[in-house]
Amino acid sequence: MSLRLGQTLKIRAMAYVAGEPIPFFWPMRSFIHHNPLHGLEHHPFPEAVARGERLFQARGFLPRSGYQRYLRLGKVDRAALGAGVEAFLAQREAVAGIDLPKWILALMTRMDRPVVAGSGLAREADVVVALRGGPIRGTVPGADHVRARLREELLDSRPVYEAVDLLFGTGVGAELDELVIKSCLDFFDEGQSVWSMPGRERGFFAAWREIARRSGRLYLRGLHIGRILRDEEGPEAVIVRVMETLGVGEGRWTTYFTRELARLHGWAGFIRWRSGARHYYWAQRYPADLVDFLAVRLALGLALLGERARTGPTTEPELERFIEDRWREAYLRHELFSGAVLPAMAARVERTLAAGRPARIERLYEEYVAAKRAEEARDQAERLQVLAAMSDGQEALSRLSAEDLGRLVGILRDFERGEGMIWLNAMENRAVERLLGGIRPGAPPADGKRPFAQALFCIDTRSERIRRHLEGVGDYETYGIAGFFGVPVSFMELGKGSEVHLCPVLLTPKNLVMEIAVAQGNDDVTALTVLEKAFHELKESVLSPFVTVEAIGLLFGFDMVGKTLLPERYNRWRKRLHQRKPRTHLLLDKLSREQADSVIRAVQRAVIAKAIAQEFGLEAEQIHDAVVRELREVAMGHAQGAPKLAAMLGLDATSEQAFIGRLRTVYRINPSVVRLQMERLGRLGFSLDEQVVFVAQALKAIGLTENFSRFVLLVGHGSTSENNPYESALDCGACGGNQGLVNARVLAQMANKPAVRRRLREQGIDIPEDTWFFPALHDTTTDELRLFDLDRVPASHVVYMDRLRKGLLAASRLCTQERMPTLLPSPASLSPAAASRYAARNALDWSQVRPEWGLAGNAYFIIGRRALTQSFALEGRAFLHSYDYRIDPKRRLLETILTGPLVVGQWINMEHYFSTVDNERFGSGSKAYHNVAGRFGVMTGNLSDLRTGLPAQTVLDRGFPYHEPLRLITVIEAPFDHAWRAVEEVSVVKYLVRNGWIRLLIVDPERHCVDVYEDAAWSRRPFPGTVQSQPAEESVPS
Amino acid sequence: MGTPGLWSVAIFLPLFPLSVIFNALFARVGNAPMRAIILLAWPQVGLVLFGILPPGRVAGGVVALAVLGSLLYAFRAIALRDVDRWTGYIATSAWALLWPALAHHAAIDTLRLYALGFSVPLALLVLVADALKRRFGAAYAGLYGGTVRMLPRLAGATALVVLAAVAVPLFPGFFALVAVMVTTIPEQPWLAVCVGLTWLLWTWGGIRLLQGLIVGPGEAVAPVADLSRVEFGFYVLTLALLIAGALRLPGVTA
Amino acid sequence: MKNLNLSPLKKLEIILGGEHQAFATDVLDRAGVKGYTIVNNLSGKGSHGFHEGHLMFNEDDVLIMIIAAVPADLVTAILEGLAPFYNEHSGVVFISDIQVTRLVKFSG
Repeated sequence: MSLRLGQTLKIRAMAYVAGEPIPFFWPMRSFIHHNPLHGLEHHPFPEAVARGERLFQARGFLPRSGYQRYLRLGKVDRAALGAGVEAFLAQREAVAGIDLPKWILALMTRMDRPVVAGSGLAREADVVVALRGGPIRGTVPGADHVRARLREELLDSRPVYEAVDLLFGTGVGAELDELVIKSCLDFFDEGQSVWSMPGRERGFFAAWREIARRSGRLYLRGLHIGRILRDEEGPEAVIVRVMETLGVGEGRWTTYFTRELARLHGWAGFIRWRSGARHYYWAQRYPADLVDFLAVRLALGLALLGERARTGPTTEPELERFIEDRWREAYLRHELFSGAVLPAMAARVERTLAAGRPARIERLYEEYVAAKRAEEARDQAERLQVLAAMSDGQEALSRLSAEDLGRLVGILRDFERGEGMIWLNAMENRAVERLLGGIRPGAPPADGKRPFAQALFCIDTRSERIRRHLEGVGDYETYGIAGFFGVPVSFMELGKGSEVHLCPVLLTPKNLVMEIAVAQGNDDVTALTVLEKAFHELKESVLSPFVTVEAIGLLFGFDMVGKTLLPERYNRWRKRLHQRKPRTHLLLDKLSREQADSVIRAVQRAVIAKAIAQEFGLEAEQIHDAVVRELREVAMGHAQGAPKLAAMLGLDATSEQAFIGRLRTVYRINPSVVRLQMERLGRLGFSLDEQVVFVAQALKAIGLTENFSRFVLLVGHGSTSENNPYESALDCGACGGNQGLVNARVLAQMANKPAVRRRLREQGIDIPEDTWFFPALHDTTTDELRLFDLDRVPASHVVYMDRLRKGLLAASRLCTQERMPTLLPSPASLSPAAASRYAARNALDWSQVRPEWGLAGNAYFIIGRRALTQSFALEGRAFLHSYDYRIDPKRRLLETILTGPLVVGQWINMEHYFSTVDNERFGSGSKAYHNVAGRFGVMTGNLSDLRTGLPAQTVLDRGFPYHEPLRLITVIEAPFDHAWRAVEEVSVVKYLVRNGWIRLLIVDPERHCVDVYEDAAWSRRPFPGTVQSQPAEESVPS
Repeated sequence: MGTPGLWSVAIFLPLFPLSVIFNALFARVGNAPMRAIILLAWPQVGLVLFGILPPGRVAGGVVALAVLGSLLYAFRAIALRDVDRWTGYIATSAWALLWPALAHHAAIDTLRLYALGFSVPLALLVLVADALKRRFGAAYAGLYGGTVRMLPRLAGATALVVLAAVAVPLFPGFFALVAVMVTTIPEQPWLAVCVGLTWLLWTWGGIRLLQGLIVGPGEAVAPVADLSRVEFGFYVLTLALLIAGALRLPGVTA
Repeated sequence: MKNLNLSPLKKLEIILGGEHQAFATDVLDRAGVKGYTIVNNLSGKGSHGFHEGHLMFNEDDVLIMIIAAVPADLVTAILEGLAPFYNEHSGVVFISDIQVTRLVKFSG
């Protein structure tokens, strides 16, 4: 069946729209924190969470017991709870005799299970009877009611095979997931498996179809997949055919597709990202998109259903007929296989359904429904009584009429549905209070003294601690700036052939920076490296394990024992065996045309010399420069023959021309390649203008435009851990999941250039002669601060280096002393030296599932001057971005901060929030069960969906949340109009604020007041702790 | 050997199709201690009857029927989620395996011990199922998994008892099974294979049962009490005694 | 001046949010459209009216417009292909009649 063009395009559009709620999944080599409900961000927060709960079958808020625990720990504002309850009840009528606020507060704070339970079978009259302890009788629900409910449960919202599973207890859904995951693992593998799937270049669906038609496994299962996949049909045609066979109405296809994708949302998210990543190497070679994925999934689903076609309904019309005709049986089946069946009757229901006699089923139905109704009524009554006991309302409860009881239950049910938001608001209120109690707005004292050193750290929450300690050990000033220092670079490391993008994922860098060795490094690779490579290759061959286990297995065991029992010493010893990386410089400046030309010529000459050596077996000294030059001219088309070469080697005309031809094609010495190379070399480096712009922007964004100290440290951050697939999650998110050192080196090199400083002086930023910019790296696992590029430091600074080093070391140790107790099994205080040692061990221990807490605990994003937060210990929970509104009259810098770092912060915050509230569905579960899949993701166990989100060890501590799930509390220190207009102008942030994804506060330092955005309105309050000099909200009687 | 005598034995050492009598009776009795007693006594009655009857050869066909019936019940037990029915099926399957040993003229006393070895874990399982029923309303796999987190002692007892019932090594059922296999290998080796297969199916069914009862997220039900230490100790002690007894079980000699 | 040979075509102006550019160009590519022009950084005002999907205040979102000249027989197919998208997103497609001189650039 070949589709019309219009139909094909329509299916593609449907797949695109269906995939939008599924969040992207980036390969874990550069882990990106992102909001799992990013596709739903255009809805207000409560609504988006409700939709996400339905779509991903997950929880959007902590269970009530979680919030009760926070209440006990003092992290919830009780007054706000009461206010929330009042707001809820304001639109609802009172129930006679019941003190609703008291009941609801008791429900929230003292009851640990839901008060409204059951499937709605028991009516109010039944519950009243149960309350009084009497026997419950009554009619059973009629056919129409049951049919309607079954249709709603099974047909409206589920894929067909899920309905079949729920009615017949088959495992079609689970099996389908397994088959699809296996196909995905085969196709998307990025070098992890030794045998790869054939035919991948043709695309996911085409390659899979070839294999599926010949798959022995599927054939043995009895799946006649060949009947569903016909020759030369595109994936869209298969999708249309399957959906038509299933009998689903076309208007519902998009929702159906979304449900299908949401079942394996890890894989769907990965494919969605991959099909849009044009520069991803694997996507270019082996293309795949969501339409292919849907086609594979639907085809396999139909085949699995087809297996069952003789034993029951397998299409929607058949299911509808089944529900219509045999509704009693359908009801009982649904009860049994969805797990809602009354335990006491479970065995009997199973037996009767298996026997299949209609009369007995009818009788059982009547009995069952009566029993269930009675049970539910009793259960509901018991829960109400428990709640009544907690709120002294037993008498009032016993006197309620059936109608009033129904209203009460309805109110309680509505409340429980919206309970999460009330708790969340109360927790956030407490967090806001705490913050406002600690910060100090107002201009910092300008004492004009020159600080010993200034350090620019990433806004990452982990920098907060070390900044505080660094400021505490001496005369240091610290600033917060985005981790990539505002300089997006594409970096090519020494010896590597590919580029890495060091910038937030939203940007694409336009400049390439290369690293070259300072000293001529050894070209010979050490023996140890060769040996290691050989060992690891042996592991991957099929036959060698049989032989080599006895021969060299012991060596691997030695490695394992060393790493486990003595991690620090063993790792240090191994590092010594490896060749140390030579000192490098970064090539930052743009090449002029002549320079580029010379580079290309030099490369070409080297290639030609090697070509001659290889083809004719000559030694280096035998190859004359003139010969090489002549060959180059010929290959480039500037000359005709190569007489010198021919003479030297005695070649005839044909072999001469053959060799020249090979030079052109195989060795790529030709004009069009030269053009490409010139283009690529044109990307190399930054022009002087660009360098000036980047340095100026970075300095202005943080407000450092005068009073520079002698040392300006640019501190990027990264982390160290062993055996950690989430390693990149601990690195800098602003650098695309890599370390921030390279960006620091780039900016430092730019800022140290005299030409750049001259131009900055013209712009008004006067950097003194003796100021030097140092790149540094903050290892967040060990809190070590290392300085780099010290070979370029001018002699005048060497005298002060000792003091600087001592200061950095002291700050590191004090920081680890503060931080380590949070990682210990039981809180204890450590000396700085002991803490440092413990931190170092964490970084090297391959069994450590929690080398550091990372960004867990993040709650605040503060844009303002350091003076605002300097005196407040934020315990590593705040993103701090330096900003001085006085030098930003046009709000450009604030807008840049809002578009970039704030959005990244919101992604991180939401990732942590959802991974905490439901770690199994939004997070990735326990690290202990993870297995790396295809080199880009992890699965739980040997086969499962790609796990998205953060692992349990990152956000939970022994089962309880460690990260407090709050929305990001954003503070901007600037006059109200200034800040609000900047927010309005950045539409992304404007919608985040209006839809309630972040909580915005504007602290006005000139008027000493705080504006809070809540419930779509601004409310102003005076700053706590300041003298009430400005008019208060309400007049105070004098 | 007289046929009516054989028929009566076949009821108590269940031969298909007479095994339905046992299973029907077992399903009807509701009281847990009664069921445990039935489990202990039923095969003993069969063995006593066999001893009373005049000695003779047990036909090879009967042995084949017994082993195949055993396999059948083991196969049917895999899909069961109801613990009580499962106990009945496994009991039927296990007792039928005594026929090859009977045909081999094994000592009745040894077989009595074997039957006891099969029955005691099943009787314990009936008690555990009763404990589950009192707490959750039914002993039914898949309805309320996750007991290991909320009720660790009960979950532990369930696991150990089920493992004993499916003749995991060191429990007497295992040695009995091996002895039965040894007797059948010389004459009809394919029967030995069937016995092995039966054992495999027992363990499969047992693990499925445990999967549905013990592991999983666990529903948020009203808090129920765990097994008391005394009760748990009782189970452990009984199982320990079983193991001690099993290690001293006599074998079957030619 | 030579006689201009004018051939009639249909012009499609597809306005949608900038983040969906790849999707729209993919639709056009698969339909066999030879080329298109993309105008960036538009702003505009939209009406609400789609189900709860969007909060639309003054729409100063970043929009793009893709202009393509297609033969009349492709128009229905392309519109059919874009319909599911516009069910959920804001934006609009304008279809007008135009004439071009070098037909070979646009079709065939």
